Amino acid sequence: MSIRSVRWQGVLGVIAVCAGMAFAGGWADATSPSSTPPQYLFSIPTASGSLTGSDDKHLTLRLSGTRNYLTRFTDRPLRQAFVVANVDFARRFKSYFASAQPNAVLTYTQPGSQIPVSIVLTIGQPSWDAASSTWTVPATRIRKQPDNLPDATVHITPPVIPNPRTFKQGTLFIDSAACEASASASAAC
Amino acid sequence: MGAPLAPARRALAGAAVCIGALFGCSSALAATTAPTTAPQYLFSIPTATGSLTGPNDKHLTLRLIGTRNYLTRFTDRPLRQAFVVANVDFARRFNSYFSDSNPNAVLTYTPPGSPIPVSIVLTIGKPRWSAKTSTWTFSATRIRKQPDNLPDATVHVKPPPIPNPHTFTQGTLLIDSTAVVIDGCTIYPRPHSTVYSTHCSSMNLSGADFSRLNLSFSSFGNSNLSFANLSHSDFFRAGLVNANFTAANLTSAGLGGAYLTDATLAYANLTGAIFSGTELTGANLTGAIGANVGGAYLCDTTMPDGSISNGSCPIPPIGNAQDLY
Repeated sequence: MSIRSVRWQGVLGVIAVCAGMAFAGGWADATSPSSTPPQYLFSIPTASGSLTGSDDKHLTLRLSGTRNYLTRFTDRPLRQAFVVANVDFARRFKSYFASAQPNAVLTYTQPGSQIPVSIVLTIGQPSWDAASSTWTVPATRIRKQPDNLPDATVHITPPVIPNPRTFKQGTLFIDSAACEASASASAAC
Repeated sequence: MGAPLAPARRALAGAAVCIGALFGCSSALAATTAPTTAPQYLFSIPTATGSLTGPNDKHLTLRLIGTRNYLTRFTDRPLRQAFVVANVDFARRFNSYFSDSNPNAVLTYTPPGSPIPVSIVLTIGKPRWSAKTSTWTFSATRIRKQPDNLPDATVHVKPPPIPNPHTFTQGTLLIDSTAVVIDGCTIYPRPHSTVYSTHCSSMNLSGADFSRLNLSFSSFGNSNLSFANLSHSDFFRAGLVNANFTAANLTSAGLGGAYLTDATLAYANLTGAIFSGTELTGANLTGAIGANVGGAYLCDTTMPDGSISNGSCPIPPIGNAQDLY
């Protein structure tokens, strides 16, 4: 084999490796489950609570008498659910929601009503007090509108639901989180 | 360096483009205007009573009895909107919302004697709404909880056993986020890989509005996207082979690392589009506006002025290499 053919093979070898990297990169992503960061949702049931503040933009949500853990579950297509210590969720919150604070829905039963109601919020960094088993969360209210999709067959006027000064047996659902903040944060996701 | 080495130079140029494709992708991605997020929706259905019954966790029926005739739909962040939606409309939309896979959901209710509600996680499907009995019926499978599996967990709590409730009162079902569907093409919300991404190959999407979407790793091969609005969308590493983008609006689109082999981009508006490491072999850019394809892989590529560029064509097979010297 001549020197020139060896050079050619060397050049082609570089190209083959390079092309392999370029084209295999996507396939590697496709086949490796570890390359798919899950999206998480959260559920925090509480014995009682309150949503107070001067107006819808400046609210404080308190969840009093919660357990010291919450439920975390994956967004589809993954099918996993976990029990997570509150202290760990509070610490991870900033990395979960680095790009935008989460929306959340608070559900509870109004006095005298048979059916719970749902109110929608945007929430900020929560603080967890283990001594009083209380979450304290800054919040803003997102008021409901009638269905705005073009194929809606019924347009229902949203009922007026005041911010509950107190409620019992409620649950806060928090929408999906991704690990977004930093390499160190993503290592925990 | 003599003429015989010209093929080697071309080979090295090809390798450079190839390496550029690898290392230029991230910068291309960063350079592209960040796409906004198409709306995704979550749903909350409160109920007076209900039941979760079946022979085992894989074969369950969830009934929500005594609900209102509407539910709450709200957007996933960063959007901030909430709506009241008629149950009949939600039931009709369910299959298109979750055409790629059934949603996960969490059911919360207060067991008798407990001051605190509990949450159980399900996958749900086949919704049926009976207005006469104010009852939702879903097929369901249970997803049992595990201890926190993240490496930074400081506390590992053993999940308490919660039986499937034969009956419950005052519960709420929260259903996780929907997909966005545009002209029959389901948009995967936060793509991560070629598996978890949008797959809309061989579809007629002419004139569709796919602007400002994250379409990384997507596949639109053989699809007709003529006259479509794809401005400010990100097609990082997308498979766009033989797609038809005739007269499409691709202004400020991110095409870094995308595969546009044999694609038609004739008369497309490519102003501000990123082509770093983009495969354009056999592509037709005749009449395209604002094309800056300096970082792309060009071979048998018809340029906007009608000329053919072979600047990055592969070298001949190894068996004939010595003959070139």
